[in-house]
Amino acid sequence: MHWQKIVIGGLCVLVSAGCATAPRVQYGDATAVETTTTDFGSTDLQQIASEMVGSLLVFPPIVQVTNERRPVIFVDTIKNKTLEHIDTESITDTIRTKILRSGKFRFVDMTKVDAVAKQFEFQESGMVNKATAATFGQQIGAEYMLYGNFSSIVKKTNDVKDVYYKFTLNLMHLESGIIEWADEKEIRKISERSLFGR
Amino acid sequence: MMKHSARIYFCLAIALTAFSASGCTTSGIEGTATAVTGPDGQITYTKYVIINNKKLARGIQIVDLRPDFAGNVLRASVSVVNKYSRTLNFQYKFSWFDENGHEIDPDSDAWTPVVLYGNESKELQGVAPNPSTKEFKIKIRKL
Repeated sequence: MHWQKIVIGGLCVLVSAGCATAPRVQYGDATAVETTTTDFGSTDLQQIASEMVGSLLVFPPIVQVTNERRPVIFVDTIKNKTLEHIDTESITDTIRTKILRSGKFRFVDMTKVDAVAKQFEFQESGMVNKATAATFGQQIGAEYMLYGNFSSIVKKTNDVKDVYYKFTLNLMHLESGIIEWADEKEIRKISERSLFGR
Repeated sequence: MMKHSARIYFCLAIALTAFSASGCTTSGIEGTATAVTGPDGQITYTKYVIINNKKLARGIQIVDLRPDFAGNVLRASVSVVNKYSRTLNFQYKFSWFDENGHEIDPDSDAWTPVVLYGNESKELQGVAPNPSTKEFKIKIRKL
């Protein structure tokens, strides 16, 4: 019986080391692959942003334009046509940050127009030294517009759920209306009910 | 009776050990392309692969690491092949370095999942975050 106690004791140590029962908080890797559910997640956002920005930066006509200057872009919305509630602004924020940090483009932020207008009003109110006040009418107009769509197809049976995401991004030259660049990222996620249920 | 229960305890112990071990993170394969600037200013690349996980390396092989430039932006292409006839799921991540070997925007790239069918070869591509990037590393590990 003595050896049985040793084996049981060993098993308890193994189980308690492997699967802690008490809830515990720890920091995780924000860049790790996340597969908790088939819903849109951090890995999808990171993949989309990375591939879209990479594709844009190495597209030959864009390489040619950005070798000489840093054109100005404004980001329009990404239409969410999926069945999920997805913060598409978060995707465009990540894409914009990556493009900006590449040093190839500059951006104007249309979501801050009202705040900027208020600041101009304040600076012209007489409370601000005119020598240091920003001059009205000197902002740079955007040359390109970035916009896109995000759609999904969901199919499911009792045991399997298949989710297909398609993210499309376009860069339009505002003056000519020409789409200078576009790319798509497709993601497929499948969840299968395990033998023992979930 | 004693013999039978001993066998059950032994099997349980083996199964739990395997279960606990499978939960641990495993290191993987690293491929690096290091830039060497010659006296004429020409950049050549030294490429090497470090295998930290022999089991993973039995299935996935880095065949080639190819750096090239689109304008002044470094683009990395890594050819991998699945040496097994069954499908493999793994993940990879690029890291980017400037000419002094400093990592640029650490963690700007995330781990990307990949499906590689049996005996299939695939190009894993990455684009550097900015023109100051001269070298890259790819890390591959089990999903």
